[in-house]
Amino acid sequence: MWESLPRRRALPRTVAFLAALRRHLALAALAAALLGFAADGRAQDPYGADDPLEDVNRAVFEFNQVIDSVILKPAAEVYVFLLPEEIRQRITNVLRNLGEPLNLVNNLAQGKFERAGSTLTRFAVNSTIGVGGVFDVATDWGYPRAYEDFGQTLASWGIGDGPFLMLPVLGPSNPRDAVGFGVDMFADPMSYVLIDEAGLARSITSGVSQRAAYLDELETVERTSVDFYAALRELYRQYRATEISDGAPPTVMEIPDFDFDDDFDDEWLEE
Amino acid sequence: MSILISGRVLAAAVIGLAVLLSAAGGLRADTDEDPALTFIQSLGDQAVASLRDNLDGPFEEREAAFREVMVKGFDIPIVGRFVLGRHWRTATKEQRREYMAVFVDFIVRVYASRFDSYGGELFTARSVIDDESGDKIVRAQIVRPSGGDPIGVDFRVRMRDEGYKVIDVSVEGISMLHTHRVEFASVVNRKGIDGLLSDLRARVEAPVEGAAE
Repeated sequence: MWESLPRRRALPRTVAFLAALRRHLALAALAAALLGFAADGRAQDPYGADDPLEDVNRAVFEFNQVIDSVILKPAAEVYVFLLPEEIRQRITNVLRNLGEPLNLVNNLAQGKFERAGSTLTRFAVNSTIGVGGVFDVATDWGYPRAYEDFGQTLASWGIGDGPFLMLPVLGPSNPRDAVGFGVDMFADPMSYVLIDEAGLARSITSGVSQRAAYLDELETVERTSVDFYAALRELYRQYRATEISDGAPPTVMEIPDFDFDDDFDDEWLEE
Repeated sequence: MSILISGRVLAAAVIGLAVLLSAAGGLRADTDEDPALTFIQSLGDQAVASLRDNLDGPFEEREAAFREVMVKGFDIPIVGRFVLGRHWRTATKEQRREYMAVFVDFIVRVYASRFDSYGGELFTARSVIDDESGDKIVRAQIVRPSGGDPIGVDFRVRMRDEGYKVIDVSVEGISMLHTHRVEFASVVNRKGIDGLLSDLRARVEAPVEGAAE
């Protein structure tokens, strides 16, 4: 069905290949989802590890670490080295502005009309007065960014996340978010405006810019974790939960007042 | 293209200095000063100062100053025991003692590293939510003078005999306590409690020069 779309016209061969790859990724995600949706097992496990494919996931993670260290991370480091923070922020603004139409679609799909309105206003204001999104004037005017993707939309429709998946190259995910990612690529109105080289340039800049934003944080997590994979798996789960709740503090397991006298003398407190 | 787009999802995995929490709207500065709010504002100010005042020195100096603030403001025994979860019960007395000793070093290292780059930035406790558990959740914001999105930090605060204590910190919605709990469980499952203890010791003893630069 996609063959009829204008994006397919006059695609250079490499871009055509990448478009095909996209399609396969989306199909793979869909297949994974069909397998996964049935079993949403983590809710009752306080240790949060709904990860039946852990061995495979860890192997994929090792592979991703290599890809990151030879491609993504060096690219991000060059980007940070070449461009001052001020410029990088402007680039982030432009990329986010290009993402607003998709935010609008997903906000509407979730029935979040106030956020949809804010998104529409943002896109209009920032594209014009904000000079193509370079300046985020809308936030100052009281229209905050309302990021939504199709993974969140599925969640708002009551679909559980399913087991953890470490996707090759794409990183931490789950069946719901993998499907969401695939759907977003086709549902993004901007992807029909920015085609061919422009679309590719947007993807490259977006990837590099977002990796750059996490250079220090990711390194800190790695340096201060005893199991980097397990830490990322849990970070991803909580991060998505926060996105889905639009930033409301999540309900968490109660942390009891432990009675240390029960089974443990507290002499170690003395020192 | 998949590699390039993937920054998106990869980034999403990372601790959430993430994009969208500017949308966490409804955060207003409370004027009726809740004591929990005052407690967190003061703790945050001290923490930021501890990092800022030693800015030119090595990371170890900042960490030592930060440690004092943290040990005073957190209920570390509760945090430590919660993070070890069900494995606390099977641990021997000796393992528990060792765990608690290394856990303090570990948690100080984690927070000091994570907040190291925030030294000198503006910390504002903004509002308080009464959690159904009886805890208070104090919502704070770190504003970076360099611009960029403010970072939302939630403190779970509990009244103890000695006054308010922090028992969890969430950065952009990600609870550090719950993250460590899952992470530690994963290590214990694969290597046992002694394996966890030696991994923790290795982390704490590892050089940190990277953090200073």
